[in-house]
Amino acid sequence: MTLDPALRTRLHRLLADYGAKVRSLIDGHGLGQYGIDPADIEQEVRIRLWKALERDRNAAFHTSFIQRVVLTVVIDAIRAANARPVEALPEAVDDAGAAFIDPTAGPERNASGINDFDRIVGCMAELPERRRKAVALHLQGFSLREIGELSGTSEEAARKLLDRGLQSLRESLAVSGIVGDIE
Amino acid sequence: MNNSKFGKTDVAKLYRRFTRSRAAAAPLPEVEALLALADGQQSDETERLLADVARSGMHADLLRFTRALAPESARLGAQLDRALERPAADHARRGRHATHAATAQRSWLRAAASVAAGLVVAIAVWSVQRTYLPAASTAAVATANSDRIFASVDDRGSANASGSDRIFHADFKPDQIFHGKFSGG
Repeated sequence: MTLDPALRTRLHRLLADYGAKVRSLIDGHGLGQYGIDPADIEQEVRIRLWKALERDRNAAFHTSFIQRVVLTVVIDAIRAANARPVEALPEAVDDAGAAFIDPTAGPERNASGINDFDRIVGCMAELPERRRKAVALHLQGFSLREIGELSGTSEEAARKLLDRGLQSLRESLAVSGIVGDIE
Repeated sequence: MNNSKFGKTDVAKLYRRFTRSRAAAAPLPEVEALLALADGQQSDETERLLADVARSGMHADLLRFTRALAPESARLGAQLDRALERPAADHARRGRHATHAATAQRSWLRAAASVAAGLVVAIAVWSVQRTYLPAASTAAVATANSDRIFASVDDRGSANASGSDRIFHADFKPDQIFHGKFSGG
């Protein structure tokens, strides 16, 4: 396909802007902790979208197509990172991306963290499935609206499931010796 | 018992931290399932993925990333349409449609269920009425008939007031005989 230079420049700029936003979203959502390089993703997304444009400039670039390109690149990159035998985790990890063992915590606190996590998971396993899912999504940081949308229920129904689930979890955790608020 | 003192958000923090750390053990999500779940679609595949999202921080992060990507991708699609002078497509529509379709479908199902429930109640009431009303009518007639035997004397006056009652009146002739006997006695 031959594009006039002005249009070519404009398209490149649009893809560059989009690539920058993708990179920013990857950083913002902490995907770097899974061994991928946001700069590599940005570049690969731009190349793939440009090739798609070159193949057929008349094809509509629907949202789902563009998202599919980005997600394919990201998931392939995570798969490749997982397959690498020895890959050091990024040195600076934020709270959300803390390593399984926190080197600053000391062995006792790390062991306690693992035990507590196992007990939390054990207590959650006792919850009815729908409540367990609502509680887990809440703990993963999803809002009530998001929990409702993802579970196919209303926000109000999600709130009831979550309230009951958290209440049961609180009671189970207290029995297990974990004292504290879950909110 | 081993007591652990948590701060206000520590349980959520701990859960997120460890579900992210153990993410490598979970299978990576399929792109199509991720897109469908982000769109709010419901299927066996999205249900399975949602279960993975609940127990894997990486899946949760990818789902959030996918949802955040939608508006930016819609914007790029519209910008490309303008640049290439193509008729503008509603790029944001797909995601919204899927969500709205799911919501509309749920609303429709709720409405249909309400109508069905109403219909069942109406049929039940009608059936009950149909079953009990003829029996009730028969009982009422029987009661009226039997009552007439005992009330035959009192009925005589009212029987004269109505032509149709005369038939019944005729049936109560034996009462007249008793009446006569008592009168004679």
